[in-house]
Amino acid sequence: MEHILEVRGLCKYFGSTVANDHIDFDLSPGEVRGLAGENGSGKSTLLQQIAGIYRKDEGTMTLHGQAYDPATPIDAIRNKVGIVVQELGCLSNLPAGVNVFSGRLGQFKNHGILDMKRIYKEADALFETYGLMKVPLHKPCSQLSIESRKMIELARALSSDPDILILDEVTQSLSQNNRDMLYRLMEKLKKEGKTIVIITHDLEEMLELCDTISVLRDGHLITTKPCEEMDTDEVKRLMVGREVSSEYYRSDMEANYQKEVVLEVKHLTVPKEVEDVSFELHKGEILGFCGLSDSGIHEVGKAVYGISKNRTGTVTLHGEASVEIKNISAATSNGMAYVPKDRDGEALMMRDSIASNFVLPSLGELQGKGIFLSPKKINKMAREGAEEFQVKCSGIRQKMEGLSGGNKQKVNLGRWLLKDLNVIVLDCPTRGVDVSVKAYIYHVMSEAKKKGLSMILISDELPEVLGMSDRLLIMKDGKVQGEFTRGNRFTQEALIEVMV
Amino acid sequence: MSEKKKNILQMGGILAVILLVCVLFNLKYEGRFLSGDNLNILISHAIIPTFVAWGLCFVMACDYTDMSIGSVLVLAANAAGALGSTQLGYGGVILGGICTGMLLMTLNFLIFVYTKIPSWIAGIGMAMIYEAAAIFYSNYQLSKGSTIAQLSSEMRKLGKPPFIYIIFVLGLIVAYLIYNRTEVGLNIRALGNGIKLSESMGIHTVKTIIMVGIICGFFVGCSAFLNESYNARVNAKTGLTSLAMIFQPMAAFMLAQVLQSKINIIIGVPICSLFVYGIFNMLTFMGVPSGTLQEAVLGLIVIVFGILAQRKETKVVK
Repeated sequence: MEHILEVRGLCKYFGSTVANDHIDFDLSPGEVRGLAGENGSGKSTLLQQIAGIYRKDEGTMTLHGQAYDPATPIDAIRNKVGIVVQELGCLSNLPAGVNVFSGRLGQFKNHGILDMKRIYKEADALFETYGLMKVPLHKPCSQLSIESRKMIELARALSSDPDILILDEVTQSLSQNNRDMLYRLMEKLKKEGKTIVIITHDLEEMLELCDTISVLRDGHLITTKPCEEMDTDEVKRLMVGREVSSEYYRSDMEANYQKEVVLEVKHLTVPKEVEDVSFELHKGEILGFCGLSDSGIHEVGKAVYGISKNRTGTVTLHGEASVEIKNISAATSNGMAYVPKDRDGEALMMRDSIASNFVLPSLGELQGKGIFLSPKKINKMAREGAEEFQVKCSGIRQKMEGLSGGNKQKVNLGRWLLKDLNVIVLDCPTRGVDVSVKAYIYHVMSEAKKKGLSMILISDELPEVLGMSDRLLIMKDGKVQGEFTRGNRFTQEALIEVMV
Repeated sequence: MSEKKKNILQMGGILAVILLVCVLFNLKYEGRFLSGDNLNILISHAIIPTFVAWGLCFVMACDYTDMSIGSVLVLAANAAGALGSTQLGYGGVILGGICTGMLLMTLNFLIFVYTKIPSWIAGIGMAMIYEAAAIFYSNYQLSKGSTIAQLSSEMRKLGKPPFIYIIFVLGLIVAYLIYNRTEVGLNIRALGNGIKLSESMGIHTVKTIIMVGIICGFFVGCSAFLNESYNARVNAKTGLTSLAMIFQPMAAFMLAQVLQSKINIIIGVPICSLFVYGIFNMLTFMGVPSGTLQEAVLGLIVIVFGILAQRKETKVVK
């Protein structure tokens, strides 16, 4: 079959780092290609060169038999190559509808003035045509959830009727219903002869969706094989370059925690988000929360930790004495921690060093002489933390923004686990991390559980909550809809039945 | 109740309270506050900084801060005065103000974009240079036995009703359309999300940043020729005192930013400008000395509105 895109000898350098090293990569019409590799293997860089976000340093690209070298994403869109990127996202202060066509608003000009009605109408038609989840198009993106913003990015990529659609870790931001929608959409586009390239760290999902998989390691393209010839273990082996245990999750099938209640939540309500949620969390327990989009699971995490300002109900931490958690300050000072879903936006200081990020929650313990912090203690804690949590970096003074997603998450999670905690709220802890980091995070969680740490695990990924939780609360429209305890009925089918 | 209805009711409530305060104040000062003459002065006074505040809307939208706007205004007003005294007449007043404003602000933004110096630092540097230029000009005029550019009374009609109102309405339409209904306006607002993201959206960021200078310069230039027309002359400033010239427009801009969720910022700016000047007018009626205590009140207003504007900054991700 004739290739729609041919890439030959593609190289991309960032300073002394070789992100892509002489990559040869072909795509055929109607093909769904998966791109697998560890964080930092060069997957996103390769696709971003195809989509015009980066310029290639060496090599050639041919699209439909013609030389292709997009200078900007708009160039790529004009050539019918659309991308939904992993991190950049939307213009938060502009309306969602405008975001769909940003950079190409000229087509809506009428005597120099934009026809806003037409912009919204065409954006709406786009959502209708592709069956995307409806999003309030007049609202600024800053007021939309991550999932809605992903829908905007998807609509933006689809707006050029692309021959090649690139989806870089899109599914991990979506809840189950929108994942299903995306799968249907991919099937439809494939039937129309469109080519789709997908990056996802969920290898089972990749094997199910794709025709072929290309594996990258350290900037090199290792192989491209049909999916029938591979299984998850084989993909993992190719990604990492050695055998990786196929067992991610807990192997025990029984709930296993102590009787002692460490956290008691009663009638927790956040207007329009969470309604009358009550539960108990036991010592050493992992309590999972799952639900469809806008079910309120993420808001429960924020409310429990005291971030939601207008919450009602009570959150009580039981220890030597019972303490009511009314705000973040009460939560942190009583051994509670929170790892948010939006790692870069809500948790980490991206322009600061690994050391600063590591020690931030522990400043009280790092006092030196007088009112000053002890540089010695800071360096010791950061160095030991980076070592213990296996953060791949050039040193603790490296800036966070230079780390891969997985290593950022190791810092984000590790800095809390260094402390003596009672409860930690984990909101999508493995979002955007590769298989080896994922396995590592689950291992760290299991170890912390053994030591008696209680965890609230909020996740959009059903296998994750099923694999790790002792008990599961399923939410719908802000309310708890059902409860499952680890055991026989702990299956995706049983959960989905309650979720929808 | 729908969000829109709630907004209208809230805005109605705020306006009713302001109106009530004005009426009571008017009663206390025997009808002088709401007299035709006083309202005329109040509105004319509010219109001049409104143009600067519109310029600030574009500068702030793309996350830049230009501290030299006040010094640009001084030079542009003097250019308006100088050209207005030639055969060009009113054309000279308008062109002198607008062209100088656009030229200098474009230069500023070229410096910001190509030198990569943080805009507030480069802006202070440029303010020093522009202030010095104004002083050189002023001294040169003095050495010739003349004063700085001064418009004769027959050339000052643009600063008086009805012309100042007509110019205001035209300015409002132009600012509204550029900010909300043009590609460049939306691209400027997109820049507020960061250069990298804007570039990935296909926006030509360098071109857009320079356009900010051109657009802001246009509005600063308008304010300059209105200022010159209203006051006949605008004196040169030294020691960075020109910075204070943007405090009043800044206060109006910040308040408009607070109200942004309820009213479009371009429409909100003149309303807020009028509100700020209303307070000054009231203080004058109450005998609070200008230049000292009134300036302190202005400083307080800027801080309070700044705090309120920050409070509206919610970046919560669900």
